[in-house]
Amino acid sequence: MPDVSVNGLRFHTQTLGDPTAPPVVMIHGMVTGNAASWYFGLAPVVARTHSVFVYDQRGHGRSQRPPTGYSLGQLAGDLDGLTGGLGPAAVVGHSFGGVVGLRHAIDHPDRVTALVLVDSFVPSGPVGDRADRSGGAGDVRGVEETVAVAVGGPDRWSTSGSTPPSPEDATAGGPRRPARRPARRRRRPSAEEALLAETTLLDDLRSTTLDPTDLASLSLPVLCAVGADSPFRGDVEALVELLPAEHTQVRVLPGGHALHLDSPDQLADLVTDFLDAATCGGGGSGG
Amino acid sequence: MTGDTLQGTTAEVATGAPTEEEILGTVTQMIGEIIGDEYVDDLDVTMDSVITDDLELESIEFVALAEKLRDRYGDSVDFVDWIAGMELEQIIGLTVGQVVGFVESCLT
Repeated sequence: MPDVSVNGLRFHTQTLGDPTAPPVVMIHGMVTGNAASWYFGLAPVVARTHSVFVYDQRGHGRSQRPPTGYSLGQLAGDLDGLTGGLGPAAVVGHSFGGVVGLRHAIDHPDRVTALVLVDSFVPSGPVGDRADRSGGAGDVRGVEETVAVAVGGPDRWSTSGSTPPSPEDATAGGPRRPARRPARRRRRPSAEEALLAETTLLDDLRSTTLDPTDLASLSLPVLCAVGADSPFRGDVEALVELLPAEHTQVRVLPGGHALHLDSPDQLADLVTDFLDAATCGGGGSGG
Repeated sequence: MTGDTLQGTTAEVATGAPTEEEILGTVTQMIGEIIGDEYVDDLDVTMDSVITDDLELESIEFVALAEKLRDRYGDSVDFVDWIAGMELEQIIGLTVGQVVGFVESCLT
């Protein structure tokens, strides 16, 4: 079991592909995301041409779950510590995992070769401005909605979650969704329940900010995949607007917030083409 | 961890591949290890058990199962590739019997 200790915490990690190939780090979204979000989907596809590193962020999956310490800086610090030995790597992030990748690219521009953001946005506004502005009712929308969608949805592998599906979840999957059995009480508490009940994650996410100047100064190739039916599409596009247009590609794919589940094949084609060009000498960001 | 393979190892030496029953025993033990001692007594693992529902395995625990299968049976049992090729509803409906059948097909 490849567990690694970083920043005083134990992290569950997995690697796929040829270790000598160009490295790609994949970061899952918060609450219901975990390494499995990539491990059984995009990761093995990307691993045909890259060395892929996936991990459970603190509090998630099989990594340690501290009661506090879920700020963007701390999450990016985990990424920094876990990938220090990889050399420059491309980073792929879903939802807030992409924001962690952005923070890492801003802090360590020499360590990130390319960035893929899958329906990523800052919960408290494009750069945290909603939270800055009021601290009142308006600023909680992002985080609470994120959790409402996420808790009902992806870990969609589970048919027996103790939280009822949200309205978004009930419609997000379209014909791909199986009929659910009536929800019943789990014998074991789910990882998501524990994360929400026992940690400061939500409060920490709510205070997330990014500096627009930092975003505008990024000079690496960025691919933004946006869900056509994502409930966060406006927030995703607001973040995209702050990225330098000359380095940024935006693609809208069919599906909602969890594009890796809704459009796995289209996302895999898009991401592998982008990464091959950006990291394997196939053309890069200039085109 | 130890002691689980004694019977299987003997059979494998004799026949070249474990039987369905032996694979079921191994997979059952793996799932028990993943779920943990405090819940394992509640488990009644059969070939018909639905892994995500009856056994309540979460997605991340499939990663652990993949790892255990690879460690036990080698790279020829590529559980990750098998799962990655499935639609979501197939994964959600996956039974222990299907996993046992997959392992068996990889080893014969």
